[in-house]
Amino acid sequence: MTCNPIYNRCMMQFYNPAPILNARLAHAYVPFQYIHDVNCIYPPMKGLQQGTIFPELDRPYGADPEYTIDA
Amino acid sequence: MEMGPNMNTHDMWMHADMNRERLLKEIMAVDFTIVELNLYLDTHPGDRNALMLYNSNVQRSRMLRQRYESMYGPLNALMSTSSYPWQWIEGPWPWEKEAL
Amino acid sequence: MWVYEKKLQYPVKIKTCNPKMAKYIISQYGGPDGELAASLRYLSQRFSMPTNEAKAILNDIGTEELAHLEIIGSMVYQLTKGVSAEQMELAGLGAYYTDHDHAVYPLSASGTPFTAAYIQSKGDPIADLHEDLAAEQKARATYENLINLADDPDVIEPLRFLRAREIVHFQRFGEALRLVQDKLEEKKHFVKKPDFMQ
Repeated sequence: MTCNPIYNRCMMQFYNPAPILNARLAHAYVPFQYIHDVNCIYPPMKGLQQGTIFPELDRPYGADPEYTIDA
Repeated sequence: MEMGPNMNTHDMWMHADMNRERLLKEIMAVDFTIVELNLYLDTHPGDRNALMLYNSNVQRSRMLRQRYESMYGPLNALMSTSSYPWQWIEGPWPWEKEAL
Repeated sequence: MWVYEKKLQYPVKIKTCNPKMAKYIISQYGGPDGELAASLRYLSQRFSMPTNEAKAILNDIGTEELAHLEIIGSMVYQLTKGVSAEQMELAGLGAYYTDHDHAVYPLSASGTPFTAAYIQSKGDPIADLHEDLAAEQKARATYENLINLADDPDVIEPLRFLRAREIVHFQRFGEALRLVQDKLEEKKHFVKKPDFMQ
């Protein structure tokens, strides 16, 4: 079982995704995800529990302010 | 739960059921990894490492399924052979509380 | 075509009945932002997508949404199993019980039956993918509302899983949009040559 420092490095991909080049007006863009290191992926049981195998896409309700909007 | 000569049929059935639950959960977990990699590869068809990981997970899933199906019956109506009488209809079905 | 797997994508084992929760959760079965709408939308839109990546992602996410539909159906089934008519009525499900007993029927939390008006399959890949992005956000928001309403961990766990899936789906549709945008940008394609070019 890999330890936390590796997952923190994996989370860096969430803070620094690939930049969006040549953006045009009247277009919407979502940054592309890239797996820089396959070791970042959660083991199967943890992946199932979290709902994703990618730490950079693991945004639990309540833990991430952007995804905890309650009108 | 100790397996042994003094174990009655009910206890043995319970023990087998815990094994079934554990094996099915493992298959669920590996299959979920496969789905995640499937979706990732759909938009990243050139990612070699992800592809290798996908293939190795598929092989692991196949192995676990074979083990499960030999003991507890088919997971798939169209891809597994059946003993007599037709096993596919046997419960529990996945939406029932007893399924896991 | 589709093959059925005799297991849920995520386990559902609810020990305590709760018809009141069932009344809310059923919205993700037959409601405007639910899994039936999602699967029908994506599986319909896939036919008119221009690139292999977009066809694949709509196909595969549409398929996964059917699996989620099954999870929601299982939750509603387990939450109402063995509940008496009187308890159904007290939970606000008297009208539902009248027409459907303990069955699972696709409607929203407010009782509106499912309608294809909840989805669009526009044929314009940019419009369709933007709708899909919106659909994933609406589904995520609905799951958060349901998590706020629930207090049983057996109910909250599958809801958390389904919410997490919506975030990943949003990312994938975003990537499909990027690929389609790049593809359409590189090749000028007209079904009918516009007037100003005659």
